[in-house]
Amino acid sequence: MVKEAERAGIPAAHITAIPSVALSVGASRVVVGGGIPHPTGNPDLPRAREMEFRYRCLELALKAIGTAVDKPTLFKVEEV
Amino acid sequence: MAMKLTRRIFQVDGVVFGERTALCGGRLVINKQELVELVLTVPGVARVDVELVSPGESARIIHVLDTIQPQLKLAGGDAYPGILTGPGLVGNGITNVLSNVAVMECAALPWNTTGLMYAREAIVDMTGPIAGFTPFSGTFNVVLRMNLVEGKSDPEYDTIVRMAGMKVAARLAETTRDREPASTEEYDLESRARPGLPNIAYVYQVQNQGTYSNTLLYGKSVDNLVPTPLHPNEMLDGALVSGNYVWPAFKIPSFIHANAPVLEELYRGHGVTHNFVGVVLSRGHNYSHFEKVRSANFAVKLVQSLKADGMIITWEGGGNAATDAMLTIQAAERTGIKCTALCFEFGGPDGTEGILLVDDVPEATALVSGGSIEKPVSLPAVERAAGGDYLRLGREFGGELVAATSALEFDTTTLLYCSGNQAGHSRLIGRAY
Amino acid sequence: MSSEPLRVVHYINQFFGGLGGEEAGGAPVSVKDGPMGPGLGLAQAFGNRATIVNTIICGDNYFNDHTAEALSTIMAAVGKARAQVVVAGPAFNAGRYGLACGAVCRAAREAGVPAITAMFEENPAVELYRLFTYIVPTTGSAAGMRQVLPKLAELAIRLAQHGKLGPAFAEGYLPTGHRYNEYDEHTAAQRVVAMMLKKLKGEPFHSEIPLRGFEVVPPAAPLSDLTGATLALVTGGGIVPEGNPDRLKQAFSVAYGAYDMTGLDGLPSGAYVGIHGGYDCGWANEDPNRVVPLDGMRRLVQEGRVGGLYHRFFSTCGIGTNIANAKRIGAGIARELLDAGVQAAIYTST
Repeated sequence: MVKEAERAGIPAAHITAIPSVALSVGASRVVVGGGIPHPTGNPDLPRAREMEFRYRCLELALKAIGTAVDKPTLFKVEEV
Repeated sequence: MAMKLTRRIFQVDGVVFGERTALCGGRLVINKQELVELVLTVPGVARVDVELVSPGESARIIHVLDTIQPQLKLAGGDAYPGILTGPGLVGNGITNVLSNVAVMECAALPWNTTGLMYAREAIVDMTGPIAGFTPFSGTFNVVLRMNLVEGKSDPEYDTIVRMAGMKVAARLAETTRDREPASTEEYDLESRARPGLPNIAYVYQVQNQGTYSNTLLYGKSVDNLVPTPLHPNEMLDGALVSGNYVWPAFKIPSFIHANAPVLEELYRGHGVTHNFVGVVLSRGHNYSHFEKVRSANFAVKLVQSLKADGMIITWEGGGNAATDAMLTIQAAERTGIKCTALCFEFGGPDGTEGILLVDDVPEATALVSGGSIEKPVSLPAVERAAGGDYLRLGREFGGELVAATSALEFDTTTLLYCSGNQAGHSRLIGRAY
Repeated sequence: MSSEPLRVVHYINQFFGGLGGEEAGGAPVSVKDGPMGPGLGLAQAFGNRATIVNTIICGDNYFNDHTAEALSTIMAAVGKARAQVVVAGPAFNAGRYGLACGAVCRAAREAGVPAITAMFEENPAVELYRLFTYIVPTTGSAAGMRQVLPKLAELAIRLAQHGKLGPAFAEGYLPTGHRYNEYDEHTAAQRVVAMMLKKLKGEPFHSEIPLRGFEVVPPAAPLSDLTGATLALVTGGGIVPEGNPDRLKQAFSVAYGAYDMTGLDGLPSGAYVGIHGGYDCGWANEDPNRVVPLDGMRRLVQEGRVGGLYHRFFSTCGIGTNIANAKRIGAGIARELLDAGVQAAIYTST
């Protein structure tokens, strides 16, 4: 799905908890998210820190969108 | 871990209602009222009817949750440990098995949630085009059609149906006490192992994602499991019990956990073509890539400690679980352990649409096909329905009821019980033309 | 059963038809009686079971430059010959000849006449025509002619008799890409153990499921300054407004929904729910921003790090959705993004 945006010239960050699948199907900008049932969340964290985690994920997505890549590339969140 | 188990096999040629619950010759006679009263001792069951469905009948069983093989341990603990009894170790001693009798828990569990975690309709046809998808078209089925009281939580309902099924299975197994079986089987890894043969381990990956999608090991869900070694005899005695009702095609009923076809096959050739060195139980559907890699590495570490040359892996569940399994294959092959695996496939009605596998690794070069779940199927009308009167379909659209005996059309096989063939029980295969 | 020999029409190019090499590539369609060239070897293998009624010869350049015209002449000849099977080639690794053989076979099959050809596995025509015709594998050059003709002849006869062939692996043609469910002689459990024993002994075995191959899409150019850009949120996690107004399926998706977020600071719990049939949606239902991170995006916009957020988010259920549908869904969303002037997107998947 995400490849179609890239094909159309729209850089797209793909946030997922299973980067191996995203990379193997050829998504270009893969961001490791929080968990399969909550890619941009972490229910174990208190609310404020979960919000912070989500913000970091999105920041990383922006970085991925702003980075030139030539093949499927993984972007990882630094520890919160 | 040496274990020695004798299975005494009682194969029936009929199940009928009668005066007294007992084995009479090859027939299992059931006092219906006795079973009804037994099920009603489980708090939470409002009403129950017991229905008998035999191979060859024009019958459809619906609302199927778990299916249990009646087993009675004469020595060495209790069958299905941790459910009706404490978690005593099993795998040794003597077990009576009513081999072709299946107790089926059937109930329309409340649809409290959307998403994954609700019990989808699960269908067994005893005859017709889909009969071969499930092993239970070939068993004598004791169907518990249950209505449950309102107002319970999902974990409570899960326990209620399991208790009902297990009590009935235990009662029916009791009929074999003091009876002579038609045959016996010895399950003993240690004395039959022969030096010089290649060693094969079996990695058995089960599903666990929460209530209605769990697998119990000695009575506890494997939510927090790091892979653990099991003696195959523990599985034969019911150490694994299913609490998985979410996708009927993919779930592995307790009956199959206790008669895992790959395990039986590995036992059959044990000491002849290979040495079967044991089972590693792992949990699929780990929540993150990190946990999947961790679990895969632990499983392979155990396979190595069993001195295995080869590893067979099967798994329960869909795409998410395929990733856990593929990572395990990759980790094993990288340490020089040869792997084969079996899994269902996608591919659309004629196999040309998209991919066959949700996930794979370059090391997965020896895969057996359990057949495609994306094939359209037509189920003819049947004379009789058991387990319920109306199928519940289309949860995501608000749900609809369809008469259970009517002709049905599905564009995939996902609601057909065990059609994913993930334990390897059926002869279904996706063939390339 | 009639003992009449089966009627075969054989298609070959200018070279095998004896008209000449590259210089004769422009030769138009001609129809000869009886077998010629490689057809002589086929006829020998057929014996009295089948007869090559006509040989059709066409220059490779002519065929590829005048495909429609050539095919219509060829199919007229096939009809006139009352052919029960069409055999084309073998084309080995000749690209244009392979394309012609593939096109002729496809046209014949569409006209209801079974057809079969033979060529090298890496001939580009294999990828284009394998869905539409049977292709027997050959060597890369015509040196393998003698080996392939008997095989081609046998399969052509069986095809004429039955209208179709058995599985690719058993029959020895290249897999067409079609797969169907069948019952094997053995259970999957028996087969997985048998395959293990072969693998351990180093004996050849055949994996029953090929691995995935994916089309490589070149990544889009990066966009490092987003302060003036509009972004969009897309998810495969099946978040929809309560009540699932578009009746999206929980799995095996064929469509997507687009939902307005105007005026929302985040996706409120209760008003948006997960319907995805592959994961426990409890966490998403508790806080839908865990799958569609609207609240976080709003903050980025407020801080001026992102110019704006497209007012609709896109949703589908990624589970069990095949590539063709995923591509179609993805392309539909991409089109809407382009039309709306969206410059970058964030996808989440579960």
